[in-house]
Amino acid sequence: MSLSDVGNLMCLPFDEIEPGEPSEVHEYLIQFAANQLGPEGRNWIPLVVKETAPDQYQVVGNAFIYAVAAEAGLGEVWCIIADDSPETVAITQALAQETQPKTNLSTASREEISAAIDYLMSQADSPLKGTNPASLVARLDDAPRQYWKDLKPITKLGCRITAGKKLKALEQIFYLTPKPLPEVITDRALLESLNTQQLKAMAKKREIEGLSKLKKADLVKLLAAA
Amino acid sequence: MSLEQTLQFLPSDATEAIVEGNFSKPFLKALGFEDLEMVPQFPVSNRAVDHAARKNTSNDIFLESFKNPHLYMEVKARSENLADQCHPNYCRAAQQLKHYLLDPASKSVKWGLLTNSLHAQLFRKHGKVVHPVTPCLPLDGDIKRVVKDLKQHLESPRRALIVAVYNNKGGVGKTTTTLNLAATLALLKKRVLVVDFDPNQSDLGDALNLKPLRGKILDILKSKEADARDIITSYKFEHPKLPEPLGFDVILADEDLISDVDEAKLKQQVKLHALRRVLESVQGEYDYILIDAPPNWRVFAQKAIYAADVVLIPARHDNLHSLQNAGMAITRFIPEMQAERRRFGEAGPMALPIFMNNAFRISDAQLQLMHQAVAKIIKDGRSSPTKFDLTPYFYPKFRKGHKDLRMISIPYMAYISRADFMHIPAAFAFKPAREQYLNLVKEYFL
Repeated sequence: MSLSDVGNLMCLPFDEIEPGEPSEVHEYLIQFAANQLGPEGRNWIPLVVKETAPDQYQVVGNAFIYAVAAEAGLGEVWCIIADDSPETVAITQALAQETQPKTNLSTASREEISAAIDYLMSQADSPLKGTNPASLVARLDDAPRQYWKDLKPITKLGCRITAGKKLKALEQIFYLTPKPLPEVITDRALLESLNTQQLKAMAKKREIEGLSKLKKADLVKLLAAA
Repeated sequence: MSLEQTLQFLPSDATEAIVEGNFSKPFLKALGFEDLEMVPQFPVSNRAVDHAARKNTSNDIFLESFKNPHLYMEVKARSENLADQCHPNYCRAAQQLKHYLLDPASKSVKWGLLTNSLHAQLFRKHGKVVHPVTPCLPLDGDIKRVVKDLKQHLESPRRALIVAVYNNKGGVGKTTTTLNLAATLALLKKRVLVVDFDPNQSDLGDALNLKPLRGKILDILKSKEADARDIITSYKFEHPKLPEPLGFDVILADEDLISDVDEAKLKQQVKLHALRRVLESVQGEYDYILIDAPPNWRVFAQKAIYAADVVLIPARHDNLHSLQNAGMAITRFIPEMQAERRRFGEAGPMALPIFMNNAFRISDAQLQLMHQAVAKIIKDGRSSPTKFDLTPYFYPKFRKGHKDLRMISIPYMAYISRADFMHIPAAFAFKPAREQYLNLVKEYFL
């Protein structure tokens, strides 16, 4: 039998527990729960803690319970002891809905992008109100996003996303792990996202001549064909 | 040992493990798969389907490579009731099989087979749509015939998915939906045939600036050997920026169908399965056949639904009757046609989830009103004698323990109606409209 407490449900004295990441929920919710609980009550949904030293614990997840227990003045709190690996912390906080979910836009599938946008737009005060989700999803899915270094190119997609509040809102749910640009680019969408100067430099490198009078569309055509 | 003998020696209360161990292999063998062409407990993401099979090619042996499965078989114990399509056992098993078939790892799979050694049912996967192609076939009778039947399906797969767009309430956007789905699928490089089966309006042809046919459809529907290719018109959309024209094929409405013949007479001349037979003759050349069915529940609508593999039902959130009629189509009309089809040993048509067309800036109050109405329709469906559960048709994202009431919808767009005046499908003419319909296509078909 293992001597470790990891995985056990234990009743711990409240003053042995340190708050970790504090809960941000509204006081009203905390007060309501604390009233239901009372000073003698039992918290049937346990706090998740890790052991930092003998008789010293720190909250990993369900920080809301900690706030309620403090408000209700509980002497002892039921806790589940977790190990202190970062994966455990991540899982616990995701299960307790304490982290902002994030999607990797570099690799996400259409469904994942669609779900993320839908979530963002369903928020009460979403700055994305008024954008057309179907267009945004379709254009994001088609864009060469595996090479994006930041989300700025979204503003060029023509979906009424500007580099202010709206882009910030998208930054909350998307992150990127960009691939380096390939040496020779022939992908049309990607070429179009570059400016004329960059295109000309690229053409020069590939030793194509007679560039000076070409417009961007011609350059893209030339480079895509090469 | 032959398959009959295997079945004879199978205990009457055989558990899943026994059915899987004794029956699966001989059954798959009878269906034409060799020893090296099947894998038991085939891994699908982090679960496993009971059996997977695929014909070997000269340099790729399925048992070794485990790549590109073609058929999944899910086996159940004999005690599980698979004969009754409303039984919880059947629903759970079919759901499980569907889950495997739609897994991203199952891209190459075309068929799903559900069996408990007493019954078997074959499902076909076409893009994102999984629909039954046979009813639950009893295996205790003439098993040779059943095997022959299944084998015929497996060996000559049909290319097209036949979709009827139907709601017996008018004005919900059936024609617009049909047209734009066709255009969007054509943009995705699919071969599409559109059938305008609403001679009273023949709006579809008009929306494309094509004149209705005269008398030809009737001939084809009446005769047994007529070639549908004679009446197919192709529609091409050209644009200077397009390297080659986009387009799809159309069978236009027939004006004579309403002017010359009255309905009773038509019923005497043209059989219920006439349209299906006509479409079957050309389905090898298309990926999708879309039928624009008329509103109401009379001769034309019945033939259209009978001909379909799946039925797509548009409704409007602000139109109570369109919601009620959608419910009615699913609980009454479609099962009627399923019963007819079963007489010929076929399964289908199957209803797809309802989608909300033309939603114009829905306020919360309107939304609540609609949810209340839908809740009542669902309740009525449950208390009807057939105990039909309409929830998945209205709320396709509803899961056990997750009350997700999102619906599939297309918002109101001025572009869509404007395109009608231009006689071009909106999906060809305007990018935002195209993106809406692309969303719909991804939601249902691809």
